[in-house]
Amino acid sequence: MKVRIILFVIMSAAAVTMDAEPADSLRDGHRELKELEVVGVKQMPVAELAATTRIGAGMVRRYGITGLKDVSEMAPNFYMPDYGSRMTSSIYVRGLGARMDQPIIGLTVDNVPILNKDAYDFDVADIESIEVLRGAQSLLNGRNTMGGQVNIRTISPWNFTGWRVMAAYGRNNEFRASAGWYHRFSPQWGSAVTALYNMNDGYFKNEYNNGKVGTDRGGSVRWKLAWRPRSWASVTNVAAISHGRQSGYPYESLSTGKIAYNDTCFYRRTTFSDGLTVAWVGKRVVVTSVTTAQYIDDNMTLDQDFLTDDYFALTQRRKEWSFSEDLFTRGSRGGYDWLGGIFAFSKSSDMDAPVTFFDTGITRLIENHRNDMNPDYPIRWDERSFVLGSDFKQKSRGFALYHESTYNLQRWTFQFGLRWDSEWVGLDHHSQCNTGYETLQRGDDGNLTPYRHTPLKINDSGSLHDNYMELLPRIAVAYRLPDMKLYATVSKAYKAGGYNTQMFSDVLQQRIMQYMGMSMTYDLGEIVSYKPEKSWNYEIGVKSSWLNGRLMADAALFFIDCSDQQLTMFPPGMTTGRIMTNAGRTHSKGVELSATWHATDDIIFRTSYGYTNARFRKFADTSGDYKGKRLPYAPAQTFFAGLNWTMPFEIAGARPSVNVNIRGAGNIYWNEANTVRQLFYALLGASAALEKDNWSVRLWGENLTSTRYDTFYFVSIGNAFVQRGLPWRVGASLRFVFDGM
Amino acid sequence: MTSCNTDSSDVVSDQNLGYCLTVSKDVDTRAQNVNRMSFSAQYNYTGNTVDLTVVGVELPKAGSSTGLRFPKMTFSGLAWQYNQSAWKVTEVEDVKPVINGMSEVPTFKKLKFMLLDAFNDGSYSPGIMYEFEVEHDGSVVEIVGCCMAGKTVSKAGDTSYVPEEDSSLASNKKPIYWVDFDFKNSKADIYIFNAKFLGGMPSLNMTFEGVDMSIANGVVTLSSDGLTPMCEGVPFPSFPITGLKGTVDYTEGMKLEFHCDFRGTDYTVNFDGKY
Repeated sequence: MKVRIILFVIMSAAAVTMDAEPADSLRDGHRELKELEVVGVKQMPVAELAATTRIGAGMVRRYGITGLKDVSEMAPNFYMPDYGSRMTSSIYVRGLGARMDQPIIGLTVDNVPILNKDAYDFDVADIESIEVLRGAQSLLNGRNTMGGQVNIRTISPWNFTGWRVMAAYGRNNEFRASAGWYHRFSPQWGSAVTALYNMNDGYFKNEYNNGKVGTDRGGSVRWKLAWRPRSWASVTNVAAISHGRQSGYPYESLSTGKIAYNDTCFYRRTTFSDGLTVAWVGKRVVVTSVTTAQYIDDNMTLDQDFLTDDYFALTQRRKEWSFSEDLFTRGSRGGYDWLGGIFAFSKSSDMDAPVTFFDTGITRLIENHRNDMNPDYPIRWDERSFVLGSDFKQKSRGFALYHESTYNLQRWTFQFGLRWDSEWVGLDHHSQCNTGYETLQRGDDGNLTPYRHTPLKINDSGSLHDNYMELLPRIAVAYRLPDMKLYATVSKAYKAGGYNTQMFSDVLQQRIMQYMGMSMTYDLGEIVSYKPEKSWNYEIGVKSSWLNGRLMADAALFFIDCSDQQLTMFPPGMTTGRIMTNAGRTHSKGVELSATWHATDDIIFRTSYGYTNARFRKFADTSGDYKGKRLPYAPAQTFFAGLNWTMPFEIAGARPSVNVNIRGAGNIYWNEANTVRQLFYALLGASAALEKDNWSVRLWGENLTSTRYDTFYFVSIGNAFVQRGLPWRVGASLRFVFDGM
Repeated sequence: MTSCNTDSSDVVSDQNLGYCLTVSKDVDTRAQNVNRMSFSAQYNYTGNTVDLTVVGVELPKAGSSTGLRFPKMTFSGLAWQYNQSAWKVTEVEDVKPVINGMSEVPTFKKLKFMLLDAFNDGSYSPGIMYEFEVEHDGSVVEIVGCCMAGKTVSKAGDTSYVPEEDSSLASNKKPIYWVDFDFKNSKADIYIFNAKFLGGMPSLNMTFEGVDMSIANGVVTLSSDGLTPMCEGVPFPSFPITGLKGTVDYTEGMKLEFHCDFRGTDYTVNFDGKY
């Protein structure tokens, strides 16, 4: 029975492999039982009945993939633009996504779930595989996976022992180096330690001070310890620590075409995570426990107006702890497979986010605004800079039960699952300000004399909390033909509600205006809180194999009916914050196509295309009715095509290979009214490599035609900004592998 | 009026007085909210005392439309007397209510409650006015009611603006009017909370002070040839008000009309509000 379970896992894994090169993949099914790590088992049955993109080690190496952003467009309808900083990175899948707070896609690295979206953008050395599951994954992964799930696995000491060293250097001082040591102390103990360092000098210039913006320096260390006390038990612990600092935010003013701002911008982040996976393989059941602890300590400091004028600046410092436990079992009996589990998490975050108003901000946003209305009694602020202080404590707790049953009847597979998910969220907030202003009286001679002084002492605090509970069912049917599988799924998914702290400084500004007799527009509870987003997802698809397995082709059609979709919007008025609001209803429908063709043993062609028509069905606010408009920030199309050719001759004992690839996305609308957009754009990349068993050298280039495109757009105090995509880049990388050391 | 109790030697009446639109404002934080309060009063005509029960006192919380709401509170044995216009006036200082289950109760630094017994088509339709100054946990809150809500129409040429129909304003941010009568000096102060006469104008709390008033047949008539509105104690000469005229009828509400000159454009503002 034990053998049967393991074999099922191997064969399931083989079915989802798309980019196979035999040396890198599982698809030949020839892996030794003793080499198998019982990790990620939860994912596999679902992967058969979902649109899946799997990227193996060969492709990771060919395209220099070190993180999620590198996978953008490779998976259809999967888009992760590069803008701002590693904190602001967002992911859009099938029209779903949000720029802040909750993600729509889950992420695990070596089974360790990353619980904060702000930590999704990081580099990983020695990726062995990346699996992108598109479509709702809420049944097995719960909250915030309504767009899908990404699982990254790094090389295990059970698969490789020795050293792996890499160094890369490119334009603009782009440098990356990594080293990994993989060792098996005994048949029961193995360990892997990898370290990675990256830096670049940024591709843009701040014309105010001629300094580079978008620079990046960072590093990480990951330690994987694996223990097999018995043939039926496995313990793996993965601990990782990272630190990085970026100068940021190369935001270009649309009106001037320049990046020019005077205050400091940077993002610094330190993360720590530890994930312990324990698996026990019984006669008919496998029990797995995944326990994680994660910590983020980051600081985002921004010139919030992104102008050379002294309006205001924000510093957001945060410390956050997260814990999770996922305990699940799976078993098999005859044609019936089942999986059931319990999940719980706890997250606690302390944030301090003061906004400092400077002279121009005080003059134009407060004094002028008020004095325009009453020029006979103008006001003058006591000082030319003051601080609006805000600090928050956010907590969330969740608990879930889930079960999935799969019944295989000859060519048919029937699957049903249900998850009960509950969550509690809370926010304690405190805002303070200690300043004041003088009201002056204009005499008949035009001279100003003091009329009265108004001290302004704000010390507001409060608490908000909410509870959510969801039942998330999933039904799937599959039919197997020789070399083809057809499937259909219906599932419900949700994205957690919560609190958006970005608007607090705008609420505080309004509190200041309240002292002058102006009523507040924003109600704190309404503007800070947002409800969960829910969706019903419908999908049919086919996974096929042709030409004796040389051509793998997938297709999927999907329809998503989403209610209360969470949208990041700019509220009316001269504000800097963004609100997270819930759109009434949206529909997203589309198609995804992907294919991998091993034309010969030396030529591999891979392509993927995604089309999404995501529109508002019901959404209106004070600015307009957006029914029928496209959802902003998510591209309507994604495209990727890559050709890899290994030459039929040798140089220095190694066969050279060349790769040419194109990736593109668009149209992307930047606002709900669809008045501003980025048209479809395409980026050309290429590489040439010389690769032998234990060394390789690669020359690479990206965006070789220097296509000009925007990855982000926003408005701050009435000014529009964009971030340009990266220009052309070239570089070289060197890799060494020392086996068995 | 619900009953007249003549069992004892005292003449006592019990009156339940319906929901009154109320504006509460924190003097320090400037937080402001709008809610409804209701009252019941037992007037002792022999002893000239009143037992007053108040429901719905809500102290505003900065940044939020909901505040700290107190349970039903009762004041016993407050003195009252008729004023020259037949209003039953209670005006006391530094009184504390009784609230069941609460030992720490707010202090009413000032409590002014006025009731006019009036009838409309044979039905009892009292006039009510009240002002409180409440101190609690270091905060001082000014409470005024009954306020009026209705429809404000501002016109300049062919352009008109109705703030009550402006969807960008939350319901508790729409204009609310209250009148403070000085019967002794025949003057009134008109308060407009969330005043907004133009589309781009921020909502302001304005006061028209020292408006002339007269009373006939239970109807108050207001008028002023010209005045400078006040906002948080500061004059706003850039919004001169002229030609103000209006009536306040406690069986119905208030009609008010005035002209406002803003940056050379004359706006005619009409308000038709109900209690």
